[in-house]
Amino acid sequence: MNHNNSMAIYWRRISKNKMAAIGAFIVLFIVIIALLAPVISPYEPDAQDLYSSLNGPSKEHWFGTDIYGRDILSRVIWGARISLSISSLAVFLSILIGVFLGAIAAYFGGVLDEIIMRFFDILLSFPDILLAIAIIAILGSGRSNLITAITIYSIPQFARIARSTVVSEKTKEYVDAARLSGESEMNILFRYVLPNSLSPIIVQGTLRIGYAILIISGLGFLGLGIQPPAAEWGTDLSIARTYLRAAPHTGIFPGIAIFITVMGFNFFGDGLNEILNPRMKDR
Amino acid sequence: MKKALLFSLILLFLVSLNFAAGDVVVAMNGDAASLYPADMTDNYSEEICRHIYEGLVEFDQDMNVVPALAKDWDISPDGMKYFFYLEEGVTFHDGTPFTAEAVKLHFDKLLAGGLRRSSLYVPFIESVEIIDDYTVLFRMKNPFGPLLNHLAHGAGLIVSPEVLKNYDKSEISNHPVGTGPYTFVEWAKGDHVKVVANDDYWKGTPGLDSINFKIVPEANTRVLMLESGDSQVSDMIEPIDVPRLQANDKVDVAIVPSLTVRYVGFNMTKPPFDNKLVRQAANYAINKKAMTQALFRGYAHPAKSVVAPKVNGYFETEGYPYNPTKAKELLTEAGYPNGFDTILFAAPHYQQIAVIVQSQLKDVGINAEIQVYEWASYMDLLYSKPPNESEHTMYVIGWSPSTGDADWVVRPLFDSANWPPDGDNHVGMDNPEVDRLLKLEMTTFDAEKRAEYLAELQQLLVDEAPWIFLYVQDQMVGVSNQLKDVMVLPLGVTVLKYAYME
Amino acid sequence: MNNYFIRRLILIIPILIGVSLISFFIIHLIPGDPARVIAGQGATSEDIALIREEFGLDKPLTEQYFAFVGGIFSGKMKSISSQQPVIDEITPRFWNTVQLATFGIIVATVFGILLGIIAATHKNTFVDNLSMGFSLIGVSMPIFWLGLLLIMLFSVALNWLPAGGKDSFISFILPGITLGLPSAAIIARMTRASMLEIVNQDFIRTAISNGIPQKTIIYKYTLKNAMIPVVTVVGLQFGYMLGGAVLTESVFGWPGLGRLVVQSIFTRDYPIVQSGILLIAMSFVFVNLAVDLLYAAIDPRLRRKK
Repeated sequence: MNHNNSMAIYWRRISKNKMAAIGAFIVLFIVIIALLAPVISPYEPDAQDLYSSLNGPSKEHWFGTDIYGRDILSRVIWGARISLSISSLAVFLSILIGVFLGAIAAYFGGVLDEIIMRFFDILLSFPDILLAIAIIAILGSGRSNLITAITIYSIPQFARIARSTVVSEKTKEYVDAARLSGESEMNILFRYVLPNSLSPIIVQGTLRIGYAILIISGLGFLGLGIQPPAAEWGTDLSIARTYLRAAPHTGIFPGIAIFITVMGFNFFGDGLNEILNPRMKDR
Repeated sequence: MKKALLFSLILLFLVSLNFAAGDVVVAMNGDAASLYPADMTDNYSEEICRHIYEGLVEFDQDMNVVPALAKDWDISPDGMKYFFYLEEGVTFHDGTPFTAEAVKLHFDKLLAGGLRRSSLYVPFIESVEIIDDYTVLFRMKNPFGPLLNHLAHGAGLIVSPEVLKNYDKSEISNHPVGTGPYTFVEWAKGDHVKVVANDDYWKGTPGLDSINFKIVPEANTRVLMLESGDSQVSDMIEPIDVPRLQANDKVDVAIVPSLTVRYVGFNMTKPPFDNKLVRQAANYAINKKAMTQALFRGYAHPAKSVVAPKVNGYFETEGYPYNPTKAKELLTEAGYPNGFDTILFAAPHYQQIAVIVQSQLKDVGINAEIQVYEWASYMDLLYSKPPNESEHTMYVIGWSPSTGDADWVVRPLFDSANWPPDGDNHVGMDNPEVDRLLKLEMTTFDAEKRAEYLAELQQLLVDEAPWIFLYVQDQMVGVSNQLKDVMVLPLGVTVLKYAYME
Repeated sequence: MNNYFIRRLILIIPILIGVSLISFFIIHLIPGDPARVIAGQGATSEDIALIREEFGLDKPLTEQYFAFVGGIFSGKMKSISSQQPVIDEITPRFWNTVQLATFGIIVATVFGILLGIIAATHKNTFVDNLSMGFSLIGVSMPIFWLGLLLIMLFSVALNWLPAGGKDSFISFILPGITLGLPSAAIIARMTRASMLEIVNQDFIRTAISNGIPQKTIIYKYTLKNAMIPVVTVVGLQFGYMLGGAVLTESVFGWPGLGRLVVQSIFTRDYPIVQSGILLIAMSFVFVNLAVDLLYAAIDPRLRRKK
């Protein structure tokens, strides 16, 4: 398969698919903002001015100031870095672990399969946010613990995808052929069988990043996010909640940031799904 | 059909009319934990209990101790014997007459230990004795100045002897029977507690028909309820909402200084905070005025002692005015010309304070990383080990003496015998002079002399700077202006015992 | 079919045991001593020892686990902070959550199916894109932010609806919409996909070629068959709502189980947390089971296979 050529085909499909295009644009926009945060943010995100606390939007502060007199625009910009880095890292880790576990469960089957998949069933019967709260309570809040919590909860999703691909592929002829030609079992599994699950994993991964951002902000909203004074949208929203009435701007802008980012990933993931699984196209 | 409709409309009208007459809704921040006064430790429980029960004495609006079920008392000159003369003709809600026996039974249960408030009485009271039906004697282990404050404390609210005899401790909470102006009706956990007027109340019929204490954890919602008339009292109003409420001609805001001093504690047993100069430098580095302006719109005042002004025994020192230059000088003198790195611990509800303190410390060269622990882990951090073995460094916390007396601040927090895990001295104060003054204030009965010891002690503590002294916050309670004589105690408890509707 | 039923039921047992183990050990892994929290500042070490003894917190973990399991069956387990039987604390809260979830799922189902039908019947038109865009917006909204926006609009600005608490029917409206909207989005997408799939099937094509009016086809044949997978999604969403209402309950001060469990995690009220999580997970598992069985019962294809 010519790699460049297939990329080009996908790219053409993305630009044809409106949803994917909008999503890709939003995600790209947020990523650029996150990367350029030090350059484009008008103030330091944690610079306080206690005597101009909770001021509404103005020429100096386009999004107004928060309770500490910090510039909300700057915090929204820097917040993109935290949300994107934590969510994408967590999703990446859970893909690695989940795919590995799901694949070996399916490939070797039997008791191993039962144990791994039943464990995931148990894990999934806890409501996500409660599980995340409990993990954060055990580990304490902070960036790396947040990543751990989200990773743990996302693993079963990817394990299931990998497992179902492997289950349906492992009886196919090319697997037997590879085995006959003396390939090792691990080689067969990871080089021939697993790549078939690539596209559902990419789709799920994209959607999952959006979902992870929602969970991060939800935890932040409950006061279990990353350590202050780092700029995190959900944490900033939870502070704003007290001042909703007198200073609604403190809650509006971080909320919009979360919403747009998550929407970007959802549009993009959804569009990708249509592109990568063309048989869905007709529906 | 039409008749039925008309009838139900009239009924509805009557019901709503009846509702308006004297049924009051109090929007509280949280649910009570227990309605057994001797076994409760939280303000929500106390707020409700103070309507159902009464003690021998009680606090007035300014935290003076005034008669309640005891109409008068005598104290022996050495402070070792307290004679209380009880009101006659008082009955509990269950019909049991209130006598010396009820007083003895209530306090015997506390003195036997095992209740969450036993430690308020066990160290001082030897025994409670019945002289006659309406006279009780409290015999002391040693003279103790603030005993009356301890009796006015919520734990001194007296429970019907029938209840104490018939139920075990967790069951008492479900059968709250006292002598107070309001009788318990129901407690829907997590939602509300309802009480109705006790028509046989010994001081005459109460001013309200019923009080419904509703649990409303969101400050925003509590304000909205007050403004829309869904509540007549809303506890814990946010400072930012005060100007709007003051402009509202249907609502008053009671602004009362609290007894809570908010501070940043130092672990004095470990460098760099074992150095007094460093601790003082940190105090000069904080702009308390700017902090309270942002967080409380000015409804808070810089703390100038370890106790709050409304606390019995308060002594005002110079405190530490904002002076970053002096802070840097002191740091240099202490051997840290370039500052140092440390950790500032906080619980989630102290996060805002931590963020401001961190930013201002950074300006003088102290780089503190904030670590937020949720409450249970936070308590564990501070209380599970003695400070010299614990990892805490600087930490945001507060203290409010529920007895209204300075003793309940200085002794638990600074007595060298009270290091965790046995007490609250998490700064690790171990100072012979402090211990000497503590012993004197605790055992001196003469009020004037005791005040002198307490003043000397407070000056010493401010100089020693075991804390960054932050502020004493005002508490704000929104009250419908039809409702009169609502008492907002500096304890953080709103009392409608004497309230009535206009 | 019978085999399937029995297999599903048996599978539940290890899951429940696993859930009870995890909910027990999670809370015990969290640092912090419930006795210390309850005793509060100003407590002596004797006060704390007393509370630990009273609630068996001084016993070995395995013993505490079996006490917990025994406590579930005897109903005698007590909350550490309120000292009341756990069952009395949890039941009313769970009922409040069930009521809210029921209202939420009604909102979600009505809006979701309507939106799904509109999108499917206007396939690949502007209306379709609009409704599907709308549904993607629904799943992208942070639920607590949606709640706050609704409060700002309907409670603060317009003063039409209460901002919180659970008093009368009107206090269900805002939290119900908040809880239901993301699920409505998911149900809408499922309805659309399912309807389009059915439309492509032979019997519908036959019906169309036989000249049966389009309306009849949509509502009589397509919708009926398309509802089968939608029922599954509705069931699953209901399961999520029972447990995932923490944020909604927190925004609206709803006295539900999720909020109780979170508060109790913070105070380390072990009996409440363990039982609460177990109850939430159990109801999730049972709703799932019910959905699976229902699916097996109504799906003609599965029936045919048998």
